Amino acid sequence: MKRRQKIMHFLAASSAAIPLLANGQIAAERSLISPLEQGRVAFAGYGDVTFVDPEDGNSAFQTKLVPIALVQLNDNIHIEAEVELSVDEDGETETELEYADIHYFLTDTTTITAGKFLLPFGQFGPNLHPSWINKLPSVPVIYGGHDGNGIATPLLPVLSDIGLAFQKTHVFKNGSRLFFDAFVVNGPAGGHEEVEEDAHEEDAEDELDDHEEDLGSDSLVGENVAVEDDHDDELFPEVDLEATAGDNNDDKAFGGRVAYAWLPEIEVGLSYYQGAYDDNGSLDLTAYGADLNYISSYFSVRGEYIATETEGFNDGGEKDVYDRDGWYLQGSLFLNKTGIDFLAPAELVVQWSEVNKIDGSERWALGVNYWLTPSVPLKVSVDETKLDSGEDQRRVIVQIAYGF
Amino acid sequence: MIKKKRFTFTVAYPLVVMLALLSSSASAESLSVADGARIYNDNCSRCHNPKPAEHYTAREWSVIMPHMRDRAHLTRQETDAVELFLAAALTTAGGATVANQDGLSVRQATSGEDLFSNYGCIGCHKVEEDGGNQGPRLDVTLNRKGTEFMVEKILNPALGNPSSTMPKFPLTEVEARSIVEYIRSVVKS
Repeated sequence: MKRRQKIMHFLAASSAAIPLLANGQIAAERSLISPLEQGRVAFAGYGDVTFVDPEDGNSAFQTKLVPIALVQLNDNIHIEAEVELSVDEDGETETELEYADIHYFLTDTTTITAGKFLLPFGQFGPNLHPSWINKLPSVPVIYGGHDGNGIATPLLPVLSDIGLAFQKTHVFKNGSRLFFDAFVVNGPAGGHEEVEEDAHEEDAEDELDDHEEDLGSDSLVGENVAVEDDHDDELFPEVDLEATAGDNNDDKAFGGRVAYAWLPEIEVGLSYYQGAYDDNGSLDLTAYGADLNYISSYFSVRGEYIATETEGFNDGGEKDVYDRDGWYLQGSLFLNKTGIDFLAPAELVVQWSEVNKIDGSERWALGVNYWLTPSVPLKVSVDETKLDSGEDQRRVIVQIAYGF
Repeated sequence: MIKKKRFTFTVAYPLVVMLALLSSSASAESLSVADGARIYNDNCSRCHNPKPAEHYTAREWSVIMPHMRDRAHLTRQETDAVELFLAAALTTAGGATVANQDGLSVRQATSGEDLFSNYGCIGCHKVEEDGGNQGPRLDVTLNRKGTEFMVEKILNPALGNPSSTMPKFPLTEVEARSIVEYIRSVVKS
C-alpha cells in the first residue's frame, strides 16, 4: 500500500472515529465552572546556566532561556509557543521555535493539536528533556539536541515537527489509564551521498570535532551523520529531522505512541515514527521506541529503547536498510529518607546509555542534584563517553536549571 | 536484502476504533479537593516535581492548566478537580471565608476536620492506611516529631526541606493547630 493511501486511511480512520470518540459530547461544557479566577495569558518556561569542563578541551559557560507563552482563547481552545534562546560559540544569539500550536479540546478526553509540536515519541523528547526536569545536565547518547550530548551521534533528536496530532485518554474503572497519540507531520529530509572512503573518514573526523565544539548547542538536531560501518565503504544515509515549513516530497511522516499507566507509579509506552526523506519519497526512516517510567515518592527509574531503520542505496544501486539501535536507563534516589535535614533536598542520579550500531557510543553518568526549590536544581555530574570511532571523552558538568 | 518492517494500518485501524469504542468519558462522579490534590501530584510527578500551588497566581493557573491537560493527558474532569485543589490552596476558601453584616470578609471558625478535608490533605498524605503517597505519613510524622513541628511545617512547608512540593496554604496558626489536633484524634481512635 502506498504511503499516501496509508495516510489517507489513517486520517479516514481517525475522522470516522471522531463521532464515536465524541460520544455525543463534542466540545462539551465543563463539568463545573472553574473556581480559579480566569486569566487569558500566562508565561512559564525554563532555563539554565551550565559549566562544561571536558578532560580534553577548554571549559566553558553556556546558558539558555526557554520562555513559553500560553493563551487561553476560551474553554476549548488553547494556544502555546516555546522559543529557545541561547548564545553560540561565536557570540551570536540563536533562536529556535520549539513549538507553536493550537489545541482544541474536542471532548472531555480528546484533544486535536495543529501547528509545530513536540512529537509524542517516547517520554524523554516530549516531556523530560527540559533542563529543570532532566535529572542530569547531559542528554542520553540516543538523543541529540537540547544540550550535553557531546561527541556521541544520536539515534534521534528530540522530535518536533509541523502537522496535526490527535490525543486520547481513557481512564479505566480501576484508575489505570490508556494514552493514545497519533500525528501526521512534514517529516524528514535528506539524501544519499556517495563519498570516497578516505574522504568520508576525514569528514567523519571533522564531524566529530564539530560535535565537541557544539557541546550544549542544538546544531545536531535532526542530523544523523554519514559514517561507515560494517557495510564497508558504504555510508549511513544522512537524514535531517529538523522541522521545516516545506517538504521535499509529498509523503508525510506519521506515527504515535500508545501508553498504559498505573499512576502514580508506572507508565510504559510504545512509539512509532515513519517518514520518507528523499526527494522521490521512496526512502524511509522508521523508528520504534519503548519507554518505561517508574516513580515513587523518593526514587525513580526511567528508560527508553529506540531502534531506527534507514533505507538507502548500496554501492550496487540496490535498496538497503541501515539499522541502528540504543537505549538508556536512569535511576535516581532522593535522600529525604535519611532523616538528615540538609540532605533532604539532595538526589543521586546514575544513567547508562548506549548506541549499539553504526557510529556506536556508550556513556555512563553520575550526578548529584540539590533542589533549591521544587523547580530549581543545582546539578553536578561526571560522565564518560566511549565511541566506536573517535576519542573517548570525560566531562564534569555543573548546571543550575530553573523552571518558572 | 531489503528489510521492510512497516507499521500496517491493519493494526492502526482496529486500534483507533477500539479506542473509540472505549471512549466513554471518565466517571461522572464529582471529584473533591482531595481528588484534585491526588491527581495533581500523581500526574505532575510523572515528569517533574510538582510546583507548589503558590508558584503561580490563580489567573496564571487558569491558563497553565489547559497546557498541562494536554501534556499530561488529563481529562477535563481531572483538570477541573486540580483547579478545585489549586483554588482551595490559593484562597481562604478552605477556611470558609464569609461576608459579615458589613459586607467585609471574615474567616469563619472551621474545625480541624473540615480544614483537613477542605484543603485536600488526604490527597497527598496517608493517615494510617488511607490517603496518597506523595508526602510523608502524617500519623508517623506526628508521632516522631510532635505537634509543634507539624504546626510549623503546615505554616511553612519549606521548613527543613526547600524542595518540598507542599503548598503553603493560607492558614492561621490556630487553624494549623486544629488540623494537627484532628490528625491526633484520628490516630488515637
